[in-house]
Amino acid sequence: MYKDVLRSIDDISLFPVIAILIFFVFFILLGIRVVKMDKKHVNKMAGLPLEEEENVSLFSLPSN
Amino acid sequence: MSLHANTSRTAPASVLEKFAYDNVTVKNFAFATVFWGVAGMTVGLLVALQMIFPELTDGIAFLSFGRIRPLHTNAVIFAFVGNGIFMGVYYSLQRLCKARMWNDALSKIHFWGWQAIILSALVTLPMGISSAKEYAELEWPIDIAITLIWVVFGLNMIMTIVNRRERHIYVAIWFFLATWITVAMLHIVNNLEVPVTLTKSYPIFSGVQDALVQWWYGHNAVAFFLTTPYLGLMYYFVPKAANRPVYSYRLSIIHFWALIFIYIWAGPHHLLYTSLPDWAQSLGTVFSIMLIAPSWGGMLNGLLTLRGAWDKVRTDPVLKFLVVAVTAYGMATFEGPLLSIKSVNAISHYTDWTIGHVHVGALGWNGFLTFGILYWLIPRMWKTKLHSVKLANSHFWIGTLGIIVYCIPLYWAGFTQSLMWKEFTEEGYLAYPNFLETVLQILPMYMWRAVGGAMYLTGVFMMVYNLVKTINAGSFAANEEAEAAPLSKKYEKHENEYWHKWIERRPVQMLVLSLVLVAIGGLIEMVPTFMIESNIPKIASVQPYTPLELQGRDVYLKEGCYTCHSQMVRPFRSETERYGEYSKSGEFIYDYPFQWGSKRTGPDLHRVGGKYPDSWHYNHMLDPRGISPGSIMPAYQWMITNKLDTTTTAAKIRTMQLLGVPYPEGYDQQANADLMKQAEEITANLKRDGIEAQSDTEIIAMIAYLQRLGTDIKASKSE
Repeated sequence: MYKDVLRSIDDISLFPVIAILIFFVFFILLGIRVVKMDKKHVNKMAGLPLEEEENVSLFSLPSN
Repeated sequence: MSLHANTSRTAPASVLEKFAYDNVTVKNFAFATVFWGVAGMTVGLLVALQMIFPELTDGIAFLSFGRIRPLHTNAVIFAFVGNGIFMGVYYSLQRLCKARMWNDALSKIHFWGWQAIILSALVTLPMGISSAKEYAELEWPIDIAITLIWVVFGLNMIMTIVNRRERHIYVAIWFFLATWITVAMLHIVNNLEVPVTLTKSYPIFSGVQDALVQWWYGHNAVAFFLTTPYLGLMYYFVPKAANRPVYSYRLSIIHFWALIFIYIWAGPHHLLYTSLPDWAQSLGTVFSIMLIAPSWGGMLNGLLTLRGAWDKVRTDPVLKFLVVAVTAYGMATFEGPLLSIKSVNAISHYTDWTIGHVHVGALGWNGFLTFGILYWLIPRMWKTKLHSVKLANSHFWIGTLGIIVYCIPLYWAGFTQSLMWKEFTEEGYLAYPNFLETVLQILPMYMWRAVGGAMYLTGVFMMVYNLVKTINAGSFAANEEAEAAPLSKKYEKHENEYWHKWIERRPVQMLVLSLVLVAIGGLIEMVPTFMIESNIPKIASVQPYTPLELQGRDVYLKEGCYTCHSQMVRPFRSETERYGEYSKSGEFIYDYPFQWGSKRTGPDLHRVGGKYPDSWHYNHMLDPRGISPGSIMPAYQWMITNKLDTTTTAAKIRTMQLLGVPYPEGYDQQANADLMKQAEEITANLKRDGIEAQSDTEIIAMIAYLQRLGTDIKASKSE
């Protein structure tokens, strides 16, 4: 049943070729963009979890 | 207080919105995490003990190994880690989005729905209601419930993100989104099944195809349930606990895309040297080796986040747990690709090496990250200090030692047993022709494994005590007040804006892109096997199971025999000598579901048909140690007395016909007559050997199935 549905796809052999192209193009673009990212933005993003105001003494360890 | 605090709040104070974070749901999930963690690990210890003392629960069907081993794996994965994921997501998502969870009612439905699913697993699995596919054993009504609750979780999460007050979406949230969409896809595809009764279904795939789908699911359950959500938690809680921003945000972006891109392809590495087509096996190997790069990138990113804070690791138990968790992630993700290399896999597969490997991940990565988060979270939510830092440190040490005492003996057992399986004498015979010899050799290692597990569990009890004392000393803040400016409707583009920043603001588009990436992997892997018939050569002599064999097969599934026995003879001389002709893909076309197994605590069963007389099987099920002294197989006395449920035969035949199994039309009406005829023959056989058996019992069906296994090919040879 499901086999017949899939068998009807034309040029199925092209799928892997397309996939590998997507793969390389995607990571080359991603690599370039990540390297060229604005430093200010990177720092802002990295600091997001630390933004909330909180009382760190809640979990301070015994000082002695 | 923080290094990079407050860079986004540009709005004047007058427009700040007041709201409150929901801590109640976080609390509920935290309690559930601890509760199910204790339960799941206790069942784990029980199954570990059963392997040394096989008569520990003798005669109690619902506590037999084959039924509660799935309970252990499901409890630890979906109850302990599952609740751990939700605890971490509900806490971090609200804060990263500067918004309360979108809908309190959905949060409630999600929490109670998930617990109800776990409870139903706790009831059905020991009853033997199981679809017999590893980590997906739950039957179809529960599968549907899981889907619904998962949608509730997703809706609540996505709407929270849509209504956020922080423009940019932190990398942890990407991991949560990818987790949600991928687990949804995996769960649905792997559980496509046709119901027979309320408690029984058959998958729509069989044999090789079912194996491929199952391990595409099974591997990615590890990837997208045990790994990506916990990486999201790592990217949130490690910076919080160390009070430092993540080491490299750039690396985290690459980590994310590389992981979801590559992970989805790696499934076939669970099926090396099986009847799966070669090209699919190689695909699995290549992508598994590629996985080292993003995995180690992520691990280093986590560890290097502690730069300049390593002195704190000496005193802070939270950081200790997190560091060992991330290190265990690194070890497991280095070992995983190694195990995917065919020559290594030839040694490791079906042995305890695999069990050691997964427990580095489960105990080290998932367990310790969860404990670290709990020790960090509970004092905060109860606005107090941890009751005893010293006790938490003790927990850390007993837990760490527990992991070592658990895993090293299993690695040893794995190597030992595999080498014994493969050893030949100078004359060219198997050095250990009796499988049992190789089991007896590793029993001391099983003993140590149980000791290691008990140590680890002791640590968990210490944590429970510590957290209860902490909670009693504090006062819970159900709603945590916060304020933040709403997002302006219009987004002002920065200069140098680029596409990745675009996607960082758009959760729905991110979700779609993630789905496209993981779906491509799944399709390329599976579609050709479904499409090209030559991938599964048909064998003319392979016939559908007789009704009695089919019912016997379902008893085999019910008792979880696949947890200890494989049905896949690999094409090695050491295996064909021991078991017989290696397995061909065409032999499994009527196997709904496939039963290749993943572990040989007992010998492979694919060629067991005709190897022993019927009476041998009868006596062996009744008293395994009477037949094979020292065997660690549990006895199945109840199979002798349990009546076989033949009311389902007709429905089963009709379902099989629907799935394409060529029973003649109208055969469902005749099936039970044929079943009884074959049963009478077996009973007569047994009688000749002096055994009085009832024809309508489960044991007769089981014998019929076992005697059929792997015999189709033998028949074709003799023709």
